[in-house]
Amino acid sequence: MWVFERPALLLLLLLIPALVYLRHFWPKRGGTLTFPFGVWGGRGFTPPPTAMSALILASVVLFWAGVVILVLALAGPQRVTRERSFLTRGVDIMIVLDQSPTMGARDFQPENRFEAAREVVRRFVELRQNDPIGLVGFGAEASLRVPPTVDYDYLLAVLDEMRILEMGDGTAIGMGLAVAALHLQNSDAPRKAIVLLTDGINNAGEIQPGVAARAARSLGIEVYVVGIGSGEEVEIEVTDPETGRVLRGSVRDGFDGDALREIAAEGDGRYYYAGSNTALQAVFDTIDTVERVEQRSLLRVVRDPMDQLFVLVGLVLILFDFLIRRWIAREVL
Amino acid sequence: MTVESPRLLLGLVLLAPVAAIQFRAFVKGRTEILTLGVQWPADQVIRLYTVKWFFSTVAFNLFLVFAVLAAANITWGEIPVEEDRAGLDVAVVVDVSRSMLAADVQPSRLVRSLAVVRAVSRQLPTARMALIAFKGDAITLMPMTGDTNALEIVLDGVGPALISAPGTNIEAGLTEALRSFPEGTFAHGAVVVLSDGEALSGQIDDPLSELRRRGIPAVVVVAGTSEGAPVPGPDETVLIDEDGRPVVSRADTAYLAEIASRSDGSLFRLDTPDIVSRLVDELSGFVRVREQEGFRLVPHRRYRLFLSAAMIALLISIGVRGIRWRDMF
Repeated sequence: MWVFERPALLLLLLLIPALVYLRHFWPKRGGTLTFPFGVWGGRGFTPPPTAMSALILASVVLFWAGVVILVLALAGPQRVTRERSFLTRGVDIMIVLDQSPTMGARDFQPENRFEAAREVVRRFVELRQNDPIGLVGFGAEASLRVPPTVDYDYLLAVLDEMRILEMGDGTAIGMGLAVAALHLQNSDAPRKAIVLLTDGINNAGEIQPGVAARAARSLGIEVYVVGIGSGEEVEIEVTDPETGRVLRGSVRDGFDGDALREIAAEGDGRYYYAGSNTALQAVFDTIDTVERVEQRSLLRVVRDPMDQLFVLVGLVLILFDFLIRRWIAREVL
Repeated sequence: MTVESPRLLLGLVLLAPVAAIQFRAFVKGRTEILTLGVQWPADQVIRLYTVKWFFSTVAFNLFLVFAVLAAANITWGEIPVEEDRAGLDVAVVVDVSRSMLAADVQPSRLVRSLAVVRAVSRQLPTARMALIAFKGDAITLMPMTGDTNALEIVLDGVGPALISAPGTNIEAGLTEALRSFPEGTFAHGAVVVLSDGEALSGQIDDPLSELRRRGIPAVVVVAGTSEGAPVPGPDETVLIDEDGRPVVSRADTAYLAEIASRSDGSLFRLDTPDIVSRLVDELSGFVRVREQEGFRLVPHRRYRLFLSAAMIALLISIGVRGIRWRDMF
């Protein structure tokens, strides 16, 4: 929305028709030398329209448009937006995303488990406001990708960059949970949660998933374990991010729901099974609903002054008029 | 008095071509009046024409000058605006150009800078921090977060190899810092810049105006000394110039002082013994003052004064041309 800081100054616009008359239509206006071109008392003549007369007409329009814009600038145009500031802290959430090779199993649309997981995480993040969200990736190792932040653009950019296998060939679920818990331990948020997204075959890392889940619980962190995949034999296709080689094959034991249930039980958390895209989305919708705290916010009115733009545009239009009249039409005054 | 958009003052060079066009028109006008002037008293018309040309030209040129000054956004004095905020978000902008490896501040400018950042973050445990590195380009190494463990990890990996683009583009660093302040935050904001100020490039007008508009001061720490030190090369030697002499990097305080002053921030030196406590006092102090007073002072913009003068000059320019003098011209 646009407003003017001093709207009373817009009354100056009322002077413009009078000025236009005085400059262009007043019979006694100055700056011209008049002399008869025909028989005394006869009718004058109107010069035929030419490109030059059209150009001069255009320059007149540009000039007065410039004047109008300068008057608007004088009145202080401002763009007004409303900004919501949160007075309270939201929920701290760490997403722990499996990047092991089995996440390349093609039993999820549009490509594989990993892409499906990435998509629901993206939608989940986009629906949150003021909840610091972080990201941990794990394969054979685990690493913090994004600390809990409300800079969701940054978070989503990093999420888009994540690739299967970049954390090595393995599934260190315990390490992933431990890293997430470490980065939530000092948080003073009213609620803290870890959302683990994996197909559940823990085969790497020095920390057992159950131990990490218990540690998280002792820090007051809610642990949600989301199992993604199925126990059936399924095709797998993974591009090695280091060599660019495409690895294909099939995997039979690419999902272990019991192991995941056990992790959730150890941490007194909740386990959700997602055997399809729809189920995965439903799980995240549930977590989205559960992990909410009441938030107080303040609406601020932010005013961006736009006068500089108006002054520049008005100045340029008037300079165009000057150039057309003096340079092209060769007016002498 | 401060000019918020000094680049726009370059618009004043337009006066030269405008004046040249006006003078050419004047010469042509005189000639044409003399050619056509058989039926008028030529001296009177020429005199009138000269006077009208002079005043309308001066008025039009004054219009140009005042309009450019209005656009350049000149400010003086301050006015209070309500500031209902609490807490602190700090965007730390670290120069990772090779000159930051110079050892005139021990063990090196960069290592000392990172140690200071680490110490400040420990003494401001409730503040959220973002970390931005800049060289020829800028990258956010850590978004705004209250996770102090993450900052410790990220600081360990900061070095010139992070960014391949050569140069020291402070504009990119400040722009990225501005971006790192999340929307909807209730906290006060501050930017801490650590740089040797040498060969800084980029146009800082826009980011500094934005910092000032949003009430975010830039606390600038000059890393290095005026005596300088050789810049280490990649192979543990020192960089040498085309004449075979070691490249010596010296801290350039002037540009950094301008950044601090134009954003209502302050300037510190990295080699000050109690630099950490000074920075902590500065950051927590400005938050305390704003929270106590409930308002902050912003520059009083004076564009309306200059624009009014420009409009009056334009009106005079039109009037001088448009009003017939002595019933003749």
